[in-house]
Amino acid sequence: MLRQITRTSCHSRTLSKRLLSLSTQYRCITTKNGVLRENMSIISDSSTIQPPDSLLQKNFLRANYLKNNKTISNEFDLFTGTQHAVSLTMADKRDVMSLWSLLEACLQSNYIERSFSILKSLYEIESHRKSFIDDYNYFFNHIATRFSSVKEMSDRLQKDLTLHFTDISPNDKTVAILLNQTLRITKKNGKLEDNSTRQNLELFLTMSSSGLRKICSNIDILTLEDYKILYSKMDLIKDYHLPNNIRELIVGEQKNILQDEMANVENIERIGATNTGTTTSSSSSNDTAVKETTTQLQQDDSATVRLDEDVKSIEKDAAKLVNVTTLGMRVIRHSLQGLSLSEKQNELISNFNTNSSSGVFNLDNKKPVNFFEMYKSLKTDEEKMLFEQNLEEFNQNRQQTLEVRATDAAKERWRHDFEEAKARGDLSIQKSLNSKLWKWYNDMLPLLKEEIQDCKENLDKKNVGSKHVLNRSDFAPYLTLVDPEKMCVIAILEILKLNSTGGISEGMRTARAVISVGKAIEMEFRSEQLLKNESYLLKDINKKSNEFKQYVRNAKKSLRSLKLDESKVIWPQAVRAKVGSILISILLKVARVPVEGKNPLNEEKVFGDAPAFSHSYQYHNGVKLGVIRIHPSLINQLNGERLFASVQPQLLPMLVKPRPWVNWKSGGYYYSQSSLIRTKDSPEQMAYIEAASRSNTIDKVYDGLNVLGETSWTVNRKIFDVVSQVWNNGKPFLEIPGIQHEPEYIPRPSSDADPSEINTWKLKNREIANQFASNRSMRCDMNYKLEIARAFLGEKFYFPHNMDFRGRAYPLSPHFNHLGNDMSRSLLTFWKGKRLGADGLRWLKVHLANLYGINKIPIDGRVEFVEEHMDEIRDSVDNPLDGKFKWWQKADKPWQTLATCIELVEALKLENPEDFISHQPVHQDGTCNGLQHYAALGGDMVGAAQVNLIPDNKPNDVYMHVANIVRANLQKKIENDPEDEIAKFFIEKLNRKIVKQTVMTHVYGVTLVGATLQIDKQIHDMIGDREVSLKYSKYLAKAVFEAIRQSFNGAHLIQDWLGECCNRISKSIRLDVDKSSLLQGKKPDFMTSIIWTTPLNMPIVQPYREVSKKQVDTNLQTVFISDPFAVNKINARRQKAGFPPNFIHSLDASHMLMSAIKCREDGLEFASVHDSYWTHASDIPTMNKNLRQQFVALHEVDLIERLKDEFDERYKNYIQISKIPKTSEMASEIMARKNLLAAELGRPITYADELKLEQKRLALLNSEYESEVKEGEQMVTTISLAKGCEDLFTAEDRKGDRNVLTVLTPLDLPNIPAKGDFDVSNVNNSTYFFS
Amino acid sequence: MLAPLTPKTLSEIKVFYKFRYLSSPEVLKKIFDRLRLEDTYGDCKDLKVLDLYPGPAQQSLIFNNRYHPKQHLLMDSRPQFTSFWKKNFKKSPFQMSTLNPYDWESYLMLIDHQRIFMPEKQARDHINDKFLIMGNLTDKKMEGLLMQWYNCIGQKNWLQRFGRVKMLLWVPTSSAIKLLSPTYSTTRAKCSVVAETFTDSKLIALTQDDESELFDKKVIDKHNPIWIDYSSTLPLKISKSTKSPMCLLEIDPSDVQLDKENWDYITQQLMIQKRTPLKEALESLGPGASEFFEKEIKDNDFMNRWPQSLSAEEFIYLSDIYYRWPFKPDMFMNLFNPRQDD
Repeated sequence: MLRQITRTSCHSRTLSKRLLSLSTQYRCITTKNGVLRENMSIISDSSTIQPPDSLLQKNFLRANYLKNNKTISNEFDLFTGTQHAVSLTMADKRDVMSLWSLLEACLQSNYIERSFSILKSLYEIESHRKSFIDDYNYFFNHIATRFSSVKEMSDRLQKDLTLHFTDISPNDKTVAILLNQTLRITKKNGKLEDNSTRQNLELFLTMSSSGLRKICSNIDILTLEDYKILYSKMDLIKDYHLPNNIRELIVGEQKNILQDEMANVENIERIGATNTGTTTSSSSSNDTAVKETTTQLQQDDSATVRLDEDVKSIEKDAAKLVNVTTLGMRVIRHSLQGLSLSEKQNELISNFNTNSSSGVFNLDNKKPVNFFEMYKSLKTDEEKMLFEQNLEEFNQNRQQTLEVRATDAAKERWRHDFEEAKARGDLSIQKSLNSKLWKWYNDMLPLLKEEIQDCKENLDKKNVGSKHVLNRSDFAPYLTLVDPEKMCVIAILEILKLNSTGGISEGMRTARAVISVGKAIEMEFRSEQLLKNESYLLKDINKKSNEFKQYVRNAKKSLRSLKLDESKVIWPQAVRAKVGSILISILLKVARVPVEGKNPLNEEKVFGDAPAFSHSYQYHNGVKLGVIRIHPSLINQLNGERLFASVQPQLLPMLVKPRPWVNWKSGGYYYSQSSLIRTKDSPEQMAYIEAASRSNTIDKVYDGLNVLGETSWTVNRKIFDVVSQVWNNGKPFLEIPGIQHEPEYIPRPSSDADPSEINTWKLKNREIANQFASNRSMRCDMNYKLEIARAFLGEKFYFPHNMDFRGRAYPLSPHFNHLGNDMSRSLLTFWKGKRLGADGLRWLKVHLANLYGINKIPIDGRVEFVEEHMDEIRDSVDNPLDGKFKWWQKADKPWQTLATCIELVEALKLENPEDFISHQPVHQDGTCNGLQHYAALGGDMVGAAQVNLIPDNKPNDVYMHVANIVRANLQKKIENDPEDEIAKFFIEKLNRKIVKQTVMTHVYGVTLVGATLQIDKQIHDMIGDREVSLKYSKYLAKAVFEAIRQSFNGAHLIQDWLGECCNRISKSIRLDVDKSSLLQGKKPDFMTSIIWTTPLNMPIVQPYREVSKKQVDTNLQTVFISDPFAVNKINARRQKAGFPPNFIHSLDASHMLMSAIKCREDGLEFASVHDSYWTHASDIPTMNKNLRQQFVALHEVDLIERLKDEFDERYKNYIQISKIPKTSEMASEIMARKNLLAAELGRPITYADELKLEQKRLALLNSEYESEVKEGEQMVTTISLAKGCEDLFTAEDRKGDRNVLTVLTPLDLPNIPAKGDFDVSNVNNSTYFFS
Repeated sequence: MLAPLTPKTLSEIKVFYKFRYLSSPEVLKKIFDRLRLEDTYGDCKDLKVLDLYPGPAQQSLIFNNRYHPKQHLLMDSRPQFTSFWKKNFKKSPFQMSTLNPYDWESYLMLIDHQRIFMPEKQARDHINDKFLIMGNLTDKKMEGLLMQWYNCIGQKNWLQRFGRVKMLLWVPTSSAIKLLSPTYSTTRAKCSVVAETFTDSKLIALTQDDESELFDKKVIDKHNPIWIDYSSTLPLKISKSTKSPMCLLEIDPSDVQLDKENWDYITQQLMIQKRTPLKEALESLGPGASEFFEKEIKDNDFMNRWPQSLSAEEFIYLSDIYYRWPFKPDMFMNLFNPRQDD
């Protein structure tokens, strides 16, 4: 209906008439441009996001996701249809994406005609048309800057929409563009005050589809100046039309209400002024203004990096670390320079200090700034609050420096080293890595510029982009987006970074290299765009109006969010590959290294040079792989390690609170986009998450993640000092490997030695090489952690979090975080301190005992244990490395033990230890958390008791329990068979340690083979012979499985049920599956993946599908890269193996997030490592209460029943492919039916026929007419006949190929197993549930 | 002397472990007629024969009856066959060992420790005239072992430490196609170069099937092999997957002196890019390699050829140049590159 109206109104009228008539009709249009509005709502509705509501507890446990699901289910047909149908739709999506990115690239490089033809191609894609106006707006906004009169502009719009894009109507963004440009043009012509201008503006404003507020929400189009004119000067819009963040700025100026707050804001501003000041410079030309501000911004960033000095560790009042001398390390250090304070910043801090009455920045000029010490020294809560506010403001700018790539700085560094080396003489030029890189850079640049020139010429010649055939020159526009200088630097850094990845020890896979370089260029482009846009909004603002800076920053923040969210465009893999390969092949051509060799004929030394990189092929696990190899002499220089620390400073901990999650891709860092879910090429997962995000059903998930992100941390200085001491002496200590430069290989046997001898020699040396490599990479990894920790000494920082697809939370910064190893964890402590109190002191002791490994005894016993060892504890603190006892070093988790010892001893030094302000995170861990959830699901009494769901006066040890059952069972076996040697062996040797890993992983679906290997690891030293040891291990693995089954019977039945559901679902198809692909009577592809909704309403989609790769020709080689748009048939084996553990993980993740939210409501700091929850010692009682209540709340609902309901709903009317014995009565009935049908049709019947008939039957059954329902009830189809066959026959009945008949049957899930008697509310009173 | 095994006796064997064996005494006779082993071993009274994976041992029996060697040891660890021998060869000229021919240690055990079978070591200027190896590796999965045995010839270790020891091996047709593949053939691989460099390998007999069609016509013409019908072989029941087409190769080790390590490296590296012109492919020998070779080899036509077109001699030529390259990569370091995860 609507479409018809708009169409008929389009053609012959003038634009303004058409637009006017539209504006009246438009009000009733609700669906059109929905996408756009969705985007906008982020800004305009941000004030209306619902606060967490604890009363919703019960409600949110219901699966209201399904309800919402229905409205968007069309989108999901895609993933369950047939392969054929999916491919078609995905091909459209793929086309759109590549055209989008090409459009963006062409517009950015000002190829207008080409852009327009791309636009036409986009328009031709039918499925894309509904959101086409976004693309047009993007184009229109770009070209509109060229018009010199309003008429010219509106004529163009009219022409485009009436001639080329007849189906399309303008929307609010189009209007915003018209407004913005009208103001620009008339200002320039001095006609701003003219009546005609006003009339034009009024006309445009009446075109609004959903009110002026919508138009005004386009803050990426309209500038502050625009708002001011429209609001203040012309009174065309009212204050309530303005977006929230802008309103204060505009209205505020008029009312001058900000005077009172001046004192505070100004001071803060002066500290933070280094960057924002530059954004306000105004210029008449758009482009140059943007460019200038961008460079200025960047210059300011790098101003903090002192380039005329060595890249050394930043100034800290702490021991410097002996570092691996690698590029990776240098890069990390370089990034960390962003943390150092410039003189200017130091000055600002001291200025602030003298100006401020409170004196919160307590500065001693001689020492580096240590914010943590300052903070701790503050006396009152008010002071602390003010300090924290100021610090957060101050850190905003430092955060930008940390996040934005520093390519210019890297280049400067190389140039500097090169010149230094040149001054010192030729030999050092050859030696210094940096001067080599500088030389490569210089040789690369002219070649790249030449290539870009060729590209430009190519573009000028050809300006036709056709829809399907993207010709070779299509990557040309992409090469013109980023400065060639920058591209060279990025290519060099990326390639070096990739050394030793992908299983290639002296190089990398070509495919990965080209993609990585291409992606890095794309990232650079995005980041530049972001900076450009940020300065755009505020470009007209008066430089001197300092009082608005606070608001400016708020506005910037939300603009950043908007821009990040908007960046839906990703470069197609093929483009990345092509751009990357061009840069790499240029680098390969120019990069050379000096080499030294021996002439084998006369043993003389020979000097020369060789290519630094070479492209070749090698076999890797039987597959021929294109690789780029790095010259060994360069490898030596890079120290051969894995340079996985990258030029991605945005992945460091954050200095300011992370951007809160408000939708599926808005949250985390400020200058780079993170996604709520970590997923790899699964468009299906993305679609579900996006849908959930849109329907606002996963707020609780955001809340939980935000709690984790807002927990502030600092580095534990005392631990850092001890670690750095150990580190710097280079000897192995605890898990830190020592420094070793070369592996010590065994000499080679003579060449005619027996093959067995040669094999042994190879094997042993490979082991040595592996050990060496693993030590080295471990040392590197620890080095990165330590260097980061060192730089963050005295800082307040945060870890932004996101989730894996099951909903488990992880910090986004990879190297240094609280999920790391024992050392990494010990280096972290809460920024906030809390008074211990009696409870806190007690829990601190318990925590110490737990870390030491004394966690299987009652709480009081643990406290006693600590009190009994106070001498050793004091000795550990006084002299951690050369003490009398070295007590802490024997702990299970030594470094964290030491940290806790220090905290405890410090507290005990006080007259009243309870007054001690503690920063130490104290942990509470679940007892085999997976089994806890299983026991709750299954209602197992025995099991529940063993994993401490039932109150007891001592903790139960489930591993011991299982070991005991195994032993009792073995005893019985021996009674039956006294010769059973294996049973005899284990009766004697069995202990909890042998079974522990198997019990723990059993819930996560460990296989018999896996369990056998786990046990073998424990016992093979006792036995020696590997074959015998494996035989014994397998025997025991079976026994352990049996024992678990005995005690967790309910849990086990659930595990089986989950598996069986998965079995059936993964063999099912939709009843309305696209018939065309079934015609040949072929079996359809199974496309149905397992999907469920967590108690927090997050949809979980198992991503396991077959992989497909696409072939892309590059100028290095043809590479095969995975296609992010591919939706293939499912991998049933992985779907099944993954489901039970993934389901449990989705529950433990929900439990954690629910607990996090509750704890934050109670004012607690909260962190977690999956099933280990952390807070301050004094808050443990509250956290314990909360996490128990949340567990009860989670399991009070029968989650299995809920899952079954969800499955029944989601997979309603699905048809399963099954097998039944040919001899069964059912089989003969179905065969008879088939024959009858075949006779009627005069041909054999196909699956499609069967599905069609069943569809008809179901339609009749659902009819409104009684007669049809009756007809339906009487109708018999081959499918209705097979109903229930899955439960009728056992797996045994279906064996073999010959004796079974393949049938279609309605997907019918098995009934859920009966639940045991355990009442989950018991958990509320169980001391040892988490302890 | 034992009578040849009858089909009835042979039918006791139920499992053949995906191997195939020639069972027809007539065809076997034809083969031995063709082989003219007498030319090498004379009256065979000093001949020691090691028979690896002999399976039902029909061939062993026919051979033994015909030549009466001094010592004839059957080596197989597969229970179907060892129990078959126990039952049928109670009184026989055979020695039997149940060591696994797959393990290198088995030979050390047999020769150096148990000292049951001790061949004579002879100079490398002639084929050893007192030691013969017979074997069957007709399961396709054994191709790896076959290639290693070939490699031992160049390496002069394993049983080839006793001099140039002739081997009569039944191998999968697919493996033989690769081994005998001539220059310019699309099936030429590194092992073809190995076979050509270190041995004189002849195709004596082969089963007639789809796979034998894949042989290069020149090879068939040159060797003029005896065609075997599946009915003369065991197992009788042939399904698609267990057809195991096979050939008999007569392998005479040659006497070559070369720098095996460099030769190995360059053949392996180059044969990865079988069809790539040398001037590009040579770079895979190490960074800067193609520059060095281009300086050494002025013949542009040669540089435009590709690895599959190169003869054994030409590979030796290339490895000599490689030897002279001062900046060649350190092979010792390359050997133990640790495996890394993706």
